[in-house]
Amino acid sequence: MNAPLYKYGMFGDEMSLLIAFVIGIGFGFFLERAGFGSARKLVSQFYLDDMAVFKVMFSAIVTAMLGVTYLGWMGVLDVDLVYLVPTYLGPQILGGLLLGVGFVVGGYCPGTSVAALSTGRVDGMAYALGIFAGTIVYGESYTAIKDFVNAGARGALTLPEAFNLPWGVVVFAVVLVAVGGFYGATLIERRVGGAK
Amino acid sequence: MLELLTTRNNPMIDPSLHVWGWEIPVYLFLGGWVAGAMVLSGWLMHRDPGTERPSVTRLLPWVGLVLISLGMVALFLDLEHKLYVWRMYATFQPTSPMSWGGWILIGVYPVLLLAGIAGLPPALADAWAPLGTLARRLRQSDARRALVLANITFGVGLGIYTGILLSSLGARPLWASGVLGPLFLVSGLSTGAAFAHMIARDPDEQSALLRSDNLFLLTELALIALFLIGLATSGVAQAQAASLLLGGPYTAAFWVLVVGLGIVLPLAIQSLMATRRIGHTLVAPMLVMGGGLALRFVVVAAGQASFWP
Repeated sequence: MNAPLYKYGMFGDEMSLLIAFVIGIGFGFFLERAGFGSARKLVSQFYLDDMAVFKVMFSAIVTAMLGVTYLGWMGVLDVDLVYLVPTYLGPQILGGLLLGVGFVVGGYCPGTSVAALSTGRVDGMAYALGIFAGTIVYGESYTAIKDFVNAGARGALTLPEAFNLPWGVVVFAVVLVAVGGFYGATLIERRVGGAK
Repeated sequence: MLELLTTRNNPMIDPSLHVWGWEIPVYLFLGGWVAGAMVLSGWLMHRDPGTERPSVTRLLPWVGLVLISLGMVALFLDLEHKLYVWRMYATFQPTSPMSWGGWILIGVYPVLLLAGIAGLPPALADAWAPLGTLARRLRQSDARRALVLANITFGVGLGIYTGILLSSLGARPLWASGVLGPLFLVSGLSTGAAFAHMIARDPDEQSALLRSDNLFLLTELALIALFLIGLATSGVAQAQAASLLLGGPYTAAFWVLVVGLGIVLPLAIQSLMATRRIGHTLVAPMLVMGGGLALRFVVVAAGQASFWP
């Protein structure tokens, strides 16, 4: 069996949507169970007294990265066929800042707002409505902003390409950063959380 | 008529004909919702006669009147010759589900109105003496029994006819299933129960409605399984029609919107609510109602895409 399964024609569009639904529900369930359906828990990240968001998200990134790397080395996964979102440096930095401001002010990111909505939280519902409204505004204003949106296209850029380093070295470096980050995050939690 | 359709002599039918747009699924959904509300109203009136607690039975008939009127508007918009709608009521054809439906819809109005008047608070009903007298009369045991019976009879009739209406149209193999009637009825009951426990304020009533909705959702799952098994194991045309939902172009919409989000997920949430492991949330009933709407849209659209080979 070779992966990506969809790219190798193991299933079609309809089945891929079904699988996406199951994975999405599972993702949302574990987000909520981890406490990420609560705006208080999420914004604690920005007050530095609870670094769970950083730890969970970074450990998810590292787990996925190691999985992709090992499966690629074993010949199970064709890494070249994995879809990568193209890089548009300027627009994506601005988009990231906007999302970050929204995250701090509202207490959710898009995924966690849906997890919050699923448990009936009214702030999550308001947030989800905001996502719809923002999507419509973006779509309707696309013609006016499309030059900026497509500015600085760098294609599907990866860290090994950007730094001109072997894949394995970058993976090892990211793991080291993660381990160091987890240690540092725990120290900050103890210091800030303990001071309260 | 069947021969014309099945031997491809009608250029409007082959290869596919989508004459029904959004109006029919919306009407079928609203009709099913009202049917569920009527049956549940009847059940609650029978279960809790003369209750002084805040009861959804006071509200459901009025909501039902609004919803069925909106459904009738959708149905009217679908008509090709709108000026001839009165002809539906110039005859009664006992072998035509559409004729049954037309007359059932007419019968639903007075039943809902009387049930609504029976549930009016005395302060409101007594504002106009004849209304107060009628409300008191309707609350007496013999009239109440008749109202219970009428609500349940017309509710079941309205809910089941919407499915039979589709299954009687022989040109569309996806609809050639006797399970569609009960499936639409149970889906309507589930939608009605979901809405009722969403607005219910009395904890006992809310709990009873919640548990009944879980039962309806389980039954709906079983009926969907029977519907698909029945089609897949019938003739070539029905098996091809079933494949529209089992790998074909309506697969994701059916399994994600109808089964996943509309039945399985709310059933899981409502089971936790029923056992008081989580609090009551609007999300589950809203998902159930969305699933009921999606069921009509998918069945109507996929049915029109199915044809005899």
